[in-house]
Amino acid sequence: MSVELKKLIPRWAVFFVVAVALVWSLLIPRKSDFPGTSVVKGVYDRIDALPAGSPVLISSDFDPGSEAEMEPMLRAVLAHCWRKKLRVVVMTLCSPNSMPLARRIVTEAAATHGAVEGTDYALMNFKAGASAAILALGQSWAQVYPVDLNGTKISEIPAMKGITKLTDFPYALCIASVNTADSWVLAGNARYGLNVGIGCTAVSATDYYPYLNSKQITGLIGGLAGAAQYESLVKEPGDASAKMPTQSVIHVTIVLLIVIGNILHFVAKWRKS
Amino acid sequence: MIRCLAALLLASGTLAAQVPEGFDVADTPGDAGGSVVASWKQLPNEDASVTYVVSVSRSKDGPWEEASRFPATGGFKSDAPKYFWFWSSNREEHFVEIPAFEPGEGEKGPIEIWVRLEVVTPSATAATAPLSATPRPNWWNWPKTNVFVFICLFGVATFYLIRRARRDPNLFIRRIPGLDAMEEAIGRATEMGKPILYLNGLDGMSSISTIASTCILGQVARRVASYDTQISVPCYDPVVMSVCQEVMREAFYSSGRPDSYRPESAFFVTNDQFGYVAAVDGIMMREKPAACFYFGFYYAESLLLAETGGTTGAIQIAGTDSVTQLPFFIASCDYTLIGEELYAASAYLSREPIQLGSLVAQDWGKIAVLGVLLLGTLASLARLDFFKHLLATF
Amino acid sequence: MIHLKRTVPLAIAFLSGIILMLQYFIPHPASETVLQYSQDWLTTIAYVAMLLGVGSLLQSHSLKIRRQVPGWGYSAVALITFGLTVLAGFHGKEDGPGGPLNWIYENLLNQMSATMFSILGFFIASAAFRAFRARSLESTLLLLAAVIIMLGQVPVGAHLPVIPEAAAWILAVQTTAAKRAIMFGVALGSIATALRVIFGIERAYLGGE
Repeated sequence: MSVELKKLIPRWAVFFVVAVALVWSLLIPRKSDFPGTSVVKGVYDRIDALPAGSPVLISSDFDPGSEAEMEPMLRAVLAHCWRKKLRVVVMTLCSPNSMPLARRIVTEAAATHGAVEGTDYALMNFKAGASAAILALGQSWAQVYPVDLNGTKISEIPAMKGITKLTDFPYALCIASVNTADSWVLAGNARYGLNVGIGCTAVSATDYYPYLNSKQITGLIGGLAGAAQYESLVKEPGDASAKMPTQSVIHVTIVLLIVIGNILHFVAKWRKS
Repeated sequence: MIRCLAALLLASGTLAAQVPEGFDVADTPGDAGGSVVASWKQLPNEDASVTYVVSVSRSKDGPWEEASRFPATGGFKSDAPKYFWFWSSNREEHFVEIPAFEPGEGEKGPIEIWVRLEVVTPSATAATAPLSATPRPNWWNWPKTNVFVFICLFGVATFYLIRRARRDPNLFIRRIPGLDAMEEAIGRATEMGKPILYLNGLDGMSSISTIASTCILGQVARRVASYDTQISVPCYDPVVMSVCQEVMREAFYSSGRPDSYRPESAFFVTNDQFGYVAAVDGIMMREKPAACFYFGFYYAESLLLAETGGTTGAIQIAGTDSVTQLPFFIASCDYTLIGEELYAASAYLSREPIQLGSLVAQDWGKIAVLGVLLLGTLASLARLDFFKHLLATF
Repeated sequence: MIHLKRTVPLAIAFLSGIILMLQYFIPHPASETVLQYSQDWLTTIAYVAMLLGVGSLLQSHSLKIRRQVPGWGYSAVALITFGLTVLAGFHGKEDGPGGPLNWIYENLLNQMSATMFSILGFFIASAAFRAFRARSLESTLLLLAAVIIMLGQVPVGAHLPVIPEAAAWILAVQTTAAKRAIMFGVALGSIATALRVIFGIERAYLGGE
């Protein structure tokens, strides 16, 4: 930044403008309908096509830092699965911190939708070594997870009926803020032909477009916008839909700041010349 | 109308009397020994009214259990190129993969699997004689051979160029401004009497970018030792911390300044992402480093680090192969090494002919990739699928 | 001694590199066992190394408190909270709701992590304000792309003509093309660096010459 611009608009002023825009955005009315794009529909349509009673695997690979962006996505997908009477199996490959977070979200969502642990969903513990764990699950589920998070044997859990290995799942969705999504594509899809979808932070979404273009994943839920679209598709507006107006206002604010910055830059340049 | 019906009945009756030719059961190629594959040639004039039923048993005489049932319009070998590749005859042969073991049974050893094929039409059914196969684990996954060949070719090119670099050490490497600026940054820190902050990223030692970062740290530590500047290396991973301590110790010793080395220069902070960035930001605000180096793999914290470093007035040089974080570093740092420039940094700074030779090999590899892209595009336009099949990965 | 410090680590790097590279091509269960074994070892070493990390943490903060360097209060806070968290972990159920460790995790760690992440929004605004200047043709194109993408990703952009389609095109075509190009370079660089490490050409990670 030139010295003149720094004096004219110090950094704290930019922060202040953003803060004001943020507060104002909380006061404006909420919109709840966000048309689903084809990339988000790629996940939605796949889950929607599954017959009742089918198992769906969700790898919840995010930590508290990215919870704000990823939680709405997970809740929307859970709502969709339970409405379709699908069995949900939730696991994590990210870190030991991820499963307590996932469990809290899943149990809260289950209470809302009347889902019962053991019958409608099952929770698995954290496993280290993402690719290795996925490869091992492709051979035998019980070898990697002999028991669930509560210590119950896999064979005694109704939600795990008929699941002996990874490919017994007709669909797997990786909701990740870390790069375990790559492991699901490379180990799950490429090795075992598993149908995989990805949910990720907005900044990582562009990383996975090559997989989308080469049809290695069926769809992509990118960031809060993707989560809001999914909520609209399942007709259950949640946190993502509530936060989208804020995101709109902040984006417009940043664009206006960029325009103002460029105007000031050219004015300063003109004055100098 | 009656004649048509009669012809149809005759045809289906003729079809039902046939069993497919070439019925065979064999171990599934390129797998861990968990299944067998039954294959057979398609019947002449088969259509959706014909159903194939594959049954399995542990003995020749049964009892038979149905393993698969599908119409004759599907289940072709061409649908499974990872087993059968892309031969044109695959479009005329059906196959079924039959898992051989119940869960946990595989440990008992290989078991002979008997397979029988039935052809079911609306009017009649015909069955083949049962055949058997024993699933065995294979030692090579042939569909992946193209990847192996590429790695071998690239490795041969690398070693050839390293040998050439030993004979002719004057290899041209283009300027990388970010690496040239490191010398200036270290000098600036020495003049100002302020420390240098060096970060290795948030991946462990198994990450290539972290290995590259520790190699660069060795070069930086050598210069820091000779200028007697302070350096601070907060680490996210304890293993990386140990490696950094060792790298820095050797750098200081080889520069003839063993007394200047302080083991606490490289220290563990935390392996929580935002806890780490909060700690490093605090270090920046308190110690006001003159230069900040960010080399390695970063996640969402990249902008938090770079912006905070920017407020302290430090010169900032970043290098990462994390494609999503590159824009943030480019926007906030003075110099940014993009992608493979990070891997080239160690060779660039040391100027060792052996390492420079591998850089040239990388460039050869990129030229080869460009050539393959061009040839592949032309081949696809000319509908020559052989080229695409040669490069398919499974 | 040189033998132990140099030759043995290089031999280990070579053998493990070659074995794990070949493992990718060998589907035999023995190969999967080798991979699983090495992953287990990796995890074990990582957790044992945590002891080194904790030792370093305690040492560095204790040193700052003893020397009373500027900001030593933060080190005192770090050590006190470290001790409290360890005590909380030993007391009660570690992962059940209501336990002290779970309370610290849910009410302190989660919230502080989310706070740090949320600062990113302000920093992005500041970085965008500073960096997106139409100084040259390239920077102008960068600026236009950034504006189109920012507006295209939010519902406001849906009301503007062309913006959503342009944003989708930039993401699906331009950005993907650029990322693929960088990924090619990174992949080749990774292979070259890995070969250098496996064959002992690159030894800096072992410590010096």
